[in-house]
Amino acid sequence: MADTIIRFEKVSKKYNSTPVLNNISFTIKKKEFITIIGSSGCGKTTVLKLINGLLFPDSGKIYVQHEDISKVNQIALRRKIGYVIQGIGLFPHMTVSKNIAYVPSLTHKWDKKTEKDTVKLLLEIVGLEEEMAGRYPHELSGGQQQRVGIARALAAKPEILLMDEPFGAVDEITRRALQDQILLIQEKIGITVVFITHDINEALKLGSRVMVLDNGGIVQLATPQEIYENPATDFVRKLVGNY
Amino acid sequence: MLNSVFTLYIERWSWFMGLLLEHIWICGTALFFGSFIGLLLGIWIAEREYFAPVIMGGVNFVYTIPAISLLGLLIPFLGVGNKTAIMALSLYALLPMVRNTYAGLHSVDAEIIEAARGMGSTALQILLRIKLPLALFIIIAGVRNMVVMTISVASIASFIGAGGLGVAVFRGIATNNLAMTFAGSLMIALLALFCELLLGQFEKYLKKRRRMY
Repeated sequence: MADTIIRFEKVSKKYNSTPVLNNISFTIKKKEFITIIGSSGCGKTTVLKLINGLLFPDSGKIYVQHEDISKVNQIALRRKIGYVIQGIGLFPHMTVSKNIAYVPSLTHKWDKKTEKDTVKLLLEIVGLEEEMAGRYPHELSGGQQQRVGIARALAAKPEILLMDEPFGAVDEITRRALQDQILLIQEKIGITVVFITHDINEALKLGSRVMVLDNGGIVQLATPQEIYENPATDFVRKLVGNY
Repeated sequence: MLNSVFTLYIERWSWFMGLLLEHIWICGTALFFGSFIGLLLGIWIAEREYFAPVIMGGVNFVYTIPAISLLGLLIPFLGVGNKTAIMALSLYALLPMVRNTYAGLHSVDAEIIEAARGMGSTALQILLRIKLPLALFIIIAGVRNMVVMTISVASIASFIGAGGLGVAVFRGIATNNLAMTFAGSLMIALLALFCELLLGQFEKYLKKRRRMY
């Protein structure tokens, strides 16, 4: 249990009166790469937002790094967790450098040199040229923007990285490159990743374990191989049937 | 006609300069209060949606009162003169400022705000570092609107004894001196035009800095 980093205990969540998550429990270990897949509206994003306290469960408990998150400072919790969202999550009025420095700058001022060095290092990690630092988001391609989004999420050295369909809006070739990059990053800095996707190929390629959600519950949480070879239900079988 | 206008400018140069400076002072003071209070009100109703209808209704209502009536209605409280003019102009300035601040803050993409929140920004940090900078150009549009309007409406304030270039216009009307009316009006128009150009250049500079072209 010592290497547990995220734990859901009988968590339920409703929107108005529609149940989205129904009594789900699971454990994520340090340095795991969990991909979450399921049909749209099945509560994937809800799971993510419950982890960083953007949403609260109606019942059940959520632990992050062994702390019940309903009892900790939500702002401080979020600053420890990297967050990458689909599409235009970058701040359009800030340069790449300022975007990347955003989370650290919320708590303390970086001096120019620290900012420059850290940004340079982070750009390198996500596979971008140093010259990108002075650009504005609208001067980047979609793939480059996603890379900056990842760099920004890593800037405060989080132990957990939440990614909500981060590669949903880019073309196939760019997506493959980004997938390879995130695997490389995860291996290099040993971060725990929770990654939402609606693409089964992506889920199987990236995840060390894959969580399949359907009808507000976890249908299967297992390694890609296990999912592929022993799908737990017809839903999972249909899902991997396209593989 | 134009000749007599220029003769007037030359002969009564210092009087016109005095009126111009007073006009600038009255408008400047009103714009300061109007934009400051308008900005705060706009932010407040954007953050506390509940109060939006009341505040927007209120500033819209003030805006529909004819300038001359508003000035007249304020006389019992503030007497005649510049104070009343500044009060009335500040009240008028509220509408474009409140409306554009509110609209500007609302125009910020919900996803961007969610991203900022998800990364651990406080509500104040989101406002100051994300929402206001992104609403900036809509707010500036409101400022431009407000400045031009204030400069022109300020001339009516001379009717209730306030100073400024309206004095020349009213004197021209009262003494049937068309050149005088025209001389005053021309300066008001030029002042408005100049301020509009200045603000336009400022906006251009800001956009260039964010490389929005």
